Amino acid sequence: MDPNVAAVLQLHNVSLQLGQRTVLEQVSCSVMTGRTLGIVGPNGAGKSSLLRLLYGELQASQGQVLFHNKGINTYRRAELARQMAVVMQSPVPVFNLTTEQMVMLGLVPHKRWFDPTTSQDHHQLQLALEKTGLLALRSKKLVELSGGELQRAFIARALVQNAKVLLLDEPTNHLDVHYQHQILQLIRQLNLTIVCCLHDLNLAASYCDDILLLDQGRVQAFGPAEQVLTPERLTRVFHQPCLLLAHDELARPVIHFYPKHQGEDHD
Amino acid sequence: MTKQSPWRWLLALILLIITLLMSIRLGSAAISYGQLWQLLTGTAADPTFDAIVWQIRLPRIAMAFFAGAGLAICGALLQNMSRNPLADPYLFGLTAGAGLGASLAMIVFPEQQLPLALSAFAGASLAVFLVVLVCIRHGWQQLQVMLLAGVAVSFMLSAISSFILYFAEPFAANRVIFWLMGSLSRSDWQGVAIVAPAVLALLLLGLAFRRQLDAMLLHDESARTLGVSVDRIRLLFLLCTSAVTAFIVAQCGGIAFVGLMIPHLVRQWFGVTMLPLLLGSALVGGIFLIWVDNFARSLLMQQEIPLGVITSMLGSVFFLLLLRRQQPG
Repeated sequence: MDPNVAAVLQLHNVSLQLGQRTVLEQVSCSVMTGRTLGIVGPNGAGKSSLLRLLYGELQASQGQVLFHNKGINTYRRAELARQMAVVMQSPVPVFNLTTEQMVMLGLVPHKRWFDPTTSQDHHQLQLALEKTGLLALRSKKLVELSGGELQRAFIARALVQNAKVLLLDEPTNHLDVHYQHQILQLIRQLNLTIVCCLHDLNLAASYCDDILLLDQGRVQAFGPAEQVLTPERLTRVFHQPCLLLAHDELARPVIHFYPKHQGEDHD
Repeated sequence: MTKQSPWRWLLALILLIITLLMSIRLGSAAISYGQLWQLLTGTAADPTFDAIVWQIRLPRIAMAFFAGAGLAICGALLQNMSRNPLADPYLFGLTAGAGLGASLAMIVFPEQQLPLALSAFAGASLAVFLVVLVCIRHGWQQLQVMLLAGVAVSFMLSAISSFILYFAEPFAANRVIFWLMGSLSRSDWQGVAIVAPAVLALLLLGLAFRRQLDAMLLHDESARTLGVSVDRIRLLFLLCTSAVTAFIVAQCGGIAFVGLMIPHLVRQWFGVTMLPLLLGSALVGGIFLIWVDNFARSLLMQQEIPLGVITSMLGSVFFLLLLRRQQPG
């Protein structure tokens, strides 16, 4: 990694204990300005917990989480929210907001007391809705949106929030193939520093600059995508034989897991 | 939002003015519009009319407006904070707790306003504490848990206050009815001077935090990522709604279901975000309770009906309809 690019987020030997369970153990990694980090790994590897440490929802039991070289917990909530936006898997609210109202919530960390909504704010709303292709749906209720539209609405909220860092928890979950790519292409175009948990290794390989491969709370590999995603490593972590296929027209390899042969066991 | 329905706001304001004028005229002494005009401009000839309007009818109407507005605002805040459409000062046990505190204060410090209000607040806080204790253990959004906890606390506290009243006074029935069902018959300017500022302060506080409260409509964690100190805001507003409910109950007794019904109607008419919801709840709640009181004092010839009889009748039907909509499938 280029040493001249500043680290936005850093984890130093972070461990996380939730109750009796050790969720993360001795995790170290850093997120560089303008790059996209994908967190991948099998179910229960601690991907979401790691993300929650990064936005201060969980506290590390050991080690340090740094944001711009300062402990994440030294930031006031609103201060952090002005610099970092989070798109998580949210349930739809009981009291039904419209798309527009939900996207406008991105203003919350920027407003105090009786600050009115200005024409500048409406301009920003307009831009965010345009970029995410939601202009036609602005007055629709959130429950009427499809999964992909809802994800885009949360990304639009993050745009209004105007933060330089964007954290996403499985943004492609439950989406059709087309929407999976649409969402990831969208966030790549935003020129932000991005951390994204992903289930799908091929999506991670196609859209992430760096990859953090987790298994059972430990870092298996961390670095540029092409170095981390090797067939041997993936076979070991996912307990399934794996092939990396180069393709003439694609910059990144295609990852393919295939059935184990009779009697063969990689465990 | 507000922009899309200016005519509805206008309509509500016109309705409020009509309501005020009609309510001042309503009562055993008939007042014509001409006399009303003279009274309001201070050129009235008859001092008895003057006294009736300024000392009896106006404080009562003002109290009805602010109590209705306050209860509706409390309901709106409680519902949005807990993301639970059935939250309401009455179902939350606030009203019963305040009633208990107030009836105790009436016995220990008769005829004193300050201990009455404070004691009512203490009672309401006790109720909140009990309900929150149950809810935290079972999760906020579980409708049944919160409902059952609220209803249980409510019954327990009103049973205790009825018990105390029966012991303290030989003819306690009137008192008990007052605390359980509410009445505006003892309204005076002194009471209005306590309730009105409290309601206005809560309204302002709600408007100041409107964006944070809107953010909490989604999800606690999501609100925190937007920079909202969810727990602190929830505690602040629980305490403040308890205080306002307590002040209202100390003056008017326990008026049921206003806080449940009004915000639901307002969401349909004005919008779900805090700005239209709070302003709309204040207006509609105020107008609603003035009319309930108008009916309460004019339906029977010689006697007033407790307000709670009317609000409960409307409210329980409303509540059943709401429950039916809540049920999945």
